[in-house]
Amino acid sequence: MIAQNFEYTVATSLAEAVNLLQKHGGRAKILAGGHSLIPMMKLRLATPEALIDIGRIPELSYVRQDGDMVCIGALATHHVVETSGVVMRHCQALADGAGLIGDIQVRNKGTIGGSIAHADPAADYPASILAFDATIVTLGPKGERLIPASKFFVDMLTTALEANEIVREIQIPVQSGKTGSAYLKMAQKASGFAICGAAAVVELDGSGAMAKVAIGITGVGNRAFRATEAEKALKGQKPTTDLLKRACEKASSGVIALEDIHASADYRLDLARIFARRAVEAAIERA
Amino acid sequence: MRIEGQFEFEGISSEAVWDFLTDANRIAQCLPGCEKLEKTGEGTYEMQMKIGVGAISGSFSGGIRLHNLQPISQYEMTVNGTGAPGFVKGEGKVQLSPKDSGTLLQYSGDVSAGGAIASVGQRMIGGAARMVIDQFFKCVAGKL
Amino acid sequence: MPQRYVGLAMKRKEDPRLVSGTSTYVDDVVLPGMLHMVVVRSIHGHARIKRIDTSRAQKFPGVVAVVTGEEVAAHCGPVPCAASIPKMKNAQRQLLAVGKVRFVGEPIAAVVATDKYVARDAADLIAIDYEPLPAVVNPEKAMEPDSPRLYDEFSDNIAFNFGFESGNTEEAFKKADVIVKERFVNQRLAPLSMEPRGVVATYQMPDNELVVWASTQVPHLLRTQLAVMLNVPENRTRVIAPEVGGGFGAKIDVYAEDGLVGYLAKKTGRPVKWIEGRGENIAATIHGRDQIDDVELALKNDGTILGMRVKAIADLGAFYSLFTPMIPTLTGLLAPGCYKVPALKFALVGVLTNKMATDAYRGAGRPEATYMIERIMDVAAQKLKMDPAEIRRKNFPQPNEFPFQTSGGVVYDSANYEAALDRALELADYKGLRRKQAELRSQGKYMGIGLSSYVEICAMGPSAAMPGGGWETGSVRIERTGKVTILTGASPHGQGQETTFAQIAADEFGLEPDDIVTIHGDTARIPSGIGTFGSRATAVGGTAMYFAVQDLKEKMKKIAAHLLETTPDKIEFGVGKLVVKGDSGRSMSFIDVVDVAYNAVKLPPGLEPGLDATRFFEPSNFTFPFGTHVCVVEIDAETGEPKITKYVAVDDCGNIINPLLVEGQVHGGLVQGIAQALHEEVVYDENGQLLTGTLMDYAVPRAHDFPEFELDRTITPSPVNPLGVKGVGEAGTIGSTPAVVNAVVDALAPFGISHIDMPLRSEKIWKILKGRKAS
Repeated sequence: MIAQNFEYTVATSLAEAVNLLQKHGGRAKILAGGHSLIPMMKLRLATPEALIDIGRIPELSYVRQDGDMVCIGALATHHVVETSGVVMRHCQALADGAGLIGDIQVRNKGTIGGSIAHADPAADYPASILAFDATIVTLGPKGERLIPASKFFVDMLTTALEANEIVREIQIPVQSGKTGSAYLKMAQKASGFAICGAAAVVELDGSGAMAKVAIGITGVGNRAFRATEAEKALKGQKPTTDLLKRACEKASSGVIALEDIHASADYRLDLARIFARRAVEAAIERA
Repeated sequence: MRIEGQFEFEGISSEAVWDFLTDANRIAQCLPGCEKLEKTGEGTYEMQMKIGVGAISGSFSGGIRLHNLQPISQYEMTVNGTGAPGFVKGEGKVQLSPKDSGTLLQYSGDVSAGGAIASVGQRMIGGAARMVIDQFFKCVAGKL
Repeated sequence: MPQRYVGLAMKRKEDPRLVSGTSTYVDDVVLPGMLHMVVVRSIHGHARIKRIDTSRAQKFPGVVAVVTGEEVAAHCGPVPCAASIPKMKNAQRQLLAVGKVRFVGEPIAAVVATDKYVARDAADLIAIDYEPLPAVVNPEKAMEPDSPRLYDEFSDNIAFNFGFESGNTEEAFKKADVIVKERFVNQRLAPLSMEPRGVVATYQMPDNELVVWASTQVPHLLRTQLAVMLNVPENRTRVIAPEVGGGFGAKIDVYAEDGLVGYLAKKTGRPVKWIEGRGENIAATIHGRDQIDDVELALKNDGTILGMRVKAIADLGAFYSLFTPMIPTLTGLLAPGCYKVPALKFALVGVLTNKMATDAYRGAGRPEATYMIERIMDVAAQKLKMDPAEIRRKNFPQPNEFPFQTSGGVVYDSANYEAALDRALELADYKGLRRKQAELRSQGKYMGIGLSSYVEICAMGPSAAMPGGGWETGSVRIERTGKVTILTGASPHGQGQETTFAQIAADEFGLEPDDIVTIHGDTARIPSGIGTFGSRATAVGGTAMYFAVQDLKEKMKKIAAHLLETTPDKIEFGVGKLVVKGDSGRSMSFIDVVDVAYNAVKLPPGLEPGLDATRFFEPSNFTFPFGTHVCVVEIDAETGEPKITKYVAVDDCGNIINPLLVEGQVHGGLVQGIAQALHEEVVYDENGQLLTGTLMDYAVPRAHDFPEFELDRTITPSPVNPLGVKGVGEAGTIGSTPAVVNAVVDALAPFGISHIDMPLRSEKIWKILKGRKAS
């Protein structure tokens, strides 16, 4: 469990970190909380020639409301996200997910920016990030870029981040109206990662019908995805037990599921249906 | 681990796909991270690749062998690579059939791994293999 | 004198140094000029080694030595095995592989360098050319005649056959009204102590002297084995077990790395350190369990057991570690559990496969026995439509039948099984639970109640049953200041004997526990010993210590009687003093008697000076703790996920020295036993690749997986030792696993299920919920 030699640099600003990334030409990695990267380096599965530590850039760890946007700095730890009043008020599902990551030590070190940039297929955040239609703000050599969540998670461990680009902020629109959200998961017993996790955001109109429904699912496929068919079947309808069940049967339609020693593809697909429905129910409860 | 899947080459004939997939130099153009691919015999190639899936990456040297070639409809392929993180091995069958004006490619096979890749990465091996295969075929379609 | 400390829930004397981080573990040992070892391990489950090229590693700056199989085999003995079974094949391996590797993680080469980073980088420069061979990982396939063979020199992979029959099983099965049968599999587990293994060795050439710090449960056994393995005189070999962060049986073994570090210290003339990584710990520290049991039980219609037949297959892995072949034989001894089984036939086959060796893991052979008897009792109850509690009650031997000779070939010392069962049922509100279960079932909810009445084998043990001896030593020395030093051959590593021995000795001498220090884990300080495993440290080691205390008390009584002008039988110990019985005015303080013993002027004629005694205790039998556990689970009707909502454990481990420590042992044991039922499993793929190589895939239980445990106990003293103690290190593990599985199977009874294999992953239950209609 000993990493290969690497250079270590502390960046004092994100701009400096971007410059350093460019200097190393793709052979450097950004170090935030280090909870995914360091174990891979110790196993020598990741062998970057340099680590650029952005963990000490002070102004990157924040959660604040900026008009109709909840803005979360890339270095906000899972604990910060889990306990933030702003997050709990406006995007409860994200707080739910943060609180279910690893254990308290992990939550005190791991960061939201690091987690989404790593894009583990079983990470908790992507489900909520997708369901909230969040925007990922990045900084690269060409400046800032806004990437919609729907374009961010590309494949297993792969995002829309360009080489030399760093996540700066996650923006989540403040939900209007009578809205509730929730994230639920079945954790893999060893790692605590999601075998299946589902986030739902539901807005109810005056009649009690679902004016807006968004469901994000993680842990099931190569990347997190939106359960669009289930969403369509729910939108505009009044929630009934029967409707929720029928609609969420479509939660994992067309998805090629992961399979490993902990869960088969079929099981993951069924969990997606179950957890999608439960997340929608919980979101309605909170609306 | 068993993996299977398919890829549609829209508007591309089976002949064109076949020619590409059995030509070492052209395979090398699309194999992600391929640093070297040399023909060492009939249907056998030696290669060096740097495979990366996100932050995880490793250099592998190994070979590709194409066998049981039945021109333009199917062939079998054995791929193996060894590097510091362990080894990977794949054995499978590729089948081509015309579909509409294009070609439908179906693949099925077994992927196995050893060393750290197996003991650490079991949950990702299948997904990663699918991802690399998909990248490869997308690249092929692009070049055609 | 009344007991002042025995029975008291004292906090552990060990804890301040542990919780303050000031304790010394092997990795804290730093010696001048020390080198670091890194081991290069097989990435194949089965392969021939065609060539090893170490030249680049040899030249790497900072590397002092690189060694491979042939060199080491020429200088060192193989990995030792102390157990023997008639006609067994000798599946021993060298410290480093020679010619062939037989499991992923098998050591092939070792590098020593000036620091561990250099050693690790150099290890990557060693090129190994393998010729992969077909691997065998399924023990039943490994037994087939055309299976690939692990050892070219053996005719097949069958390591040994072992078995016995007591009573007439054929007749019992002929007479039976009902026969139930089931296959039970104990999956492979990783012991996973919090501190992995570690070794530091230093060697002084002129004296041929070897000093080894090792994270071990058995320093004296390790010393003997290392002396033989490395050809160093045993009286020039010293093994020190500093603080040891858990063992669970896995640190009884003598490992290749222990020998390698010693050999490399000899070869380089410099101290060498090796600290195991977690990945190495999962791959190359012994595993536990991995046993298949085909069980048949013959009963009368009223639930009375007539006979039992067991066909067991033990997957031993690729070679023998210290006790590997012996462990599954213990399953036979305990097969009848806590029931009258008049006829028993036990047939065991040990099989070699391309996996790490199995050996003793918390419970060692007994959990397998308890699991199969407690599961088959439930299967029988289901078939006979009897309540699981009643079928158990029906077959218990009664308290007046002890000592009880079983068909497993052992004599249970003492028990009252029914009392423990009744207490557990009462504590759990068993009747209320059954009512609630019926109610929930009518609402389509699945709750299950699982019982496990267990007995187990502790205080290992009589020497006749233990390779290397089953005795233990205790030395007690009263220092001139009246402080007491206990030296024990047991080697506690979390069990808390520094506290419990002080409690016992304090009561015996009329002193305070703070006056007493217990030293262990150093062969230069402790004259002789076996170690800590098999719940033996207090029952065997404590008894040796107790007898040494009695020797000193007798001697002190002689001194006091001489000075108080009476006879020794008239003297008794009070708090801080020795008193003439019935005459409290005539006494001598404890310290005054000690003074006389050392000043040696006023001693009675013929009595030697000093207060120092050593005793070896050879137990006449094992002890047999027992109890009943009740587990309640609720099943998520959609996902299948089982959740334990209540857990009651009533354990009887004989007399109790410290209830706090007993509860701690029970809690830890429950957690490990429940985790076997629900989560833990070492998985190899069909090529012998280890798929659970990190804690991302091997599930360690966490606190939030468990409800609050409700514990109680009955107390049935053991007649085997004067303390009346039985041992409690493994009881929780042994009793709990079947209770959990019984609960889940009970929950799914409406689906017509009679068994589910461990670990009870949610998906297995989901499949049952999906596939069948509830009745």
